[in-house]
Amino acid sequence: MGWFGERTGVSAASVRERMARRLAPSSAVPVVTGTALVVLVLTQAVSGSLLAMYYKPAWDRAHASVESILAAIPLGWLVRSVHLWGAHLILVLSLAHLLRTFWRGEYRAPGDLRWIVKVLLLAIAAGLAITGQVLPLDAEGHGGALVAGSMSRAVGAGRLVQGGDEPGDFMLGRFFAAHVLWLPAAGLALLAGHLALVARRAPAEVQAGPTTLECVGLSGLATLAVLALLAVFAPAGLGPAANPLEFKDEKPLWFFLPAYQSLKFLPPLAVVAGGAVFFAGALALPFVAKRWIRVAGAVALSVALLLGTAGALSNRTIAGMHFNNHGLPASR
Amino acid sequence: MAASCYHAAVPDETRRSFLDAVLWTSLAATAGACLAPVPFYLLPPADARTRSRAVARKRDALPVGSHCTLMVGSTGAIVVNDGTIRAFDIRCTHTQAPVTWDGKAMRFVCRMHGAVFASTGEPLSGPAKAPLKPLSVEVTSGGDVVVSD
Repeated sequence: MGWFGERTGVSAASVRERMARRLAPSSAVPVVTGTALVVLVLTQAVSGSLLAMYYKPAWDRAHASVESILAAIPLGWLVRSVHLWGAHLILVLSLAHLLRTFWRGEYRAPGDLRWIVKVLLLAIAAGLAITGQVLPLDAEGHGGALVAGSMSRAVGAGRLVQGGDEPGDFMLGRFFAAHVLWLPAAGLALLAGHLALVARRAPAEVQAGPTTLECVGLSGLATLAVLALLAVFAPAGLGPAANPLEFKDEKPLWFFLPAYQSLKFLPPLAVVAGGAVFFAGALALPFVAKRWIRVAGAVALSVALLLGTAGALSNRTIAGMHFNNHGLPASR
Repeated sequence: MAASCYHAAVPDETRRSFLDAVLWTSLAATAGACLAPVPFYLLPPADARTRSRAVARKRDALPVGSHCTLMVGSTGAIVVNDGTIRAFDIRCTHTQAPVTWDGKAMRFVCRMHGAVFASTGEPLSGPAKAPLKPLSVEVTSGGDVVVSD
């Protein structure tokens, strides 16, 4: 026990012992995806803090400030690209991480609290995606602000979300504060709780298989490598500044395409209510004892995912890019 | 420690747990009182409504079937001619995206979620249920089309 170990109970030997433990494939997978997510969260925290130094959360200056990050700030394009690709990877990996838990039935005790924390973390990731997409106020961000404002008005929270009767300076300030302070603070607290819960659970001892260190280290390296390759070779662009007089056929982030498609035939209130039911159902899942309800939930989720994917494809294919769903050529 | 050694132990513990409950209640009430200003802070006063007006274009430059867009104050507006010159807030009543004018079919289309409106602003199909918000329009003696909200 060294100086640090005497004070914390965490010694180099205990860390080495934990890291040398061999993992069965079933426990190695969540260690790999979980490590990747933690690494991504850290890169988001760093790149986001850097972006916040130049970004201006004002309705008429936001787009120009992001433009200047890309054009005038040395390596600004790289920081923003890392931040955007990191966001995509977090959404993909956290969905995969959560769905694996779901399909393996690990939301039941003793994993029920971990499941709830994971669902809350995904909700926070979604909140970060909504607010983050709006911040640059390019055409897509502006469209996102309009839809978010409409949906909040539909549930009577318009003034709370928009800070006024319409999307504007106050709404952008709220989204900025949520994106850089409220949601990250809540997310980091939940993530710390989740990691503490995971650390309490000793994985089954196996004779053969990768060690924990190999899973953590290789996953971390691979994550950073993928992020760097994407950020450098497919740098994130910035759409034109929002024009309140012209619709540019902007589409939301892929993560929200199911909601976007639903809005074509459902009023905003129904879409918000559907999302709330989905979220409440996910939180209540561990406490549903009847097997047939869980099976029905699993089927409903799978169908929703298939429909969401189909909807995403219908709008991301070449036809979807050039024609909207009403056979009208896009204005571009 | 050896609380059971003397008879006063039970009343003492009752008093302590009562005082603990008072302390917890005070802490919760104080925390609530500290957070009470937050809802007020989060709901700023209503925006001041100012009326604006702007010249769209000359009457002669707006033949039947044509349209133009302009800003009237901070509101985007669309002016169309379907035989009558009409002006509307350009925002779709579904999720506020700007609508586009289809001059051949004489109708408004919102490309975001596919709402369609008649030239009078009434919803025809798609997810929008409320009509486009009309703006007042007048043609001055000089032939200018003037829109005001």
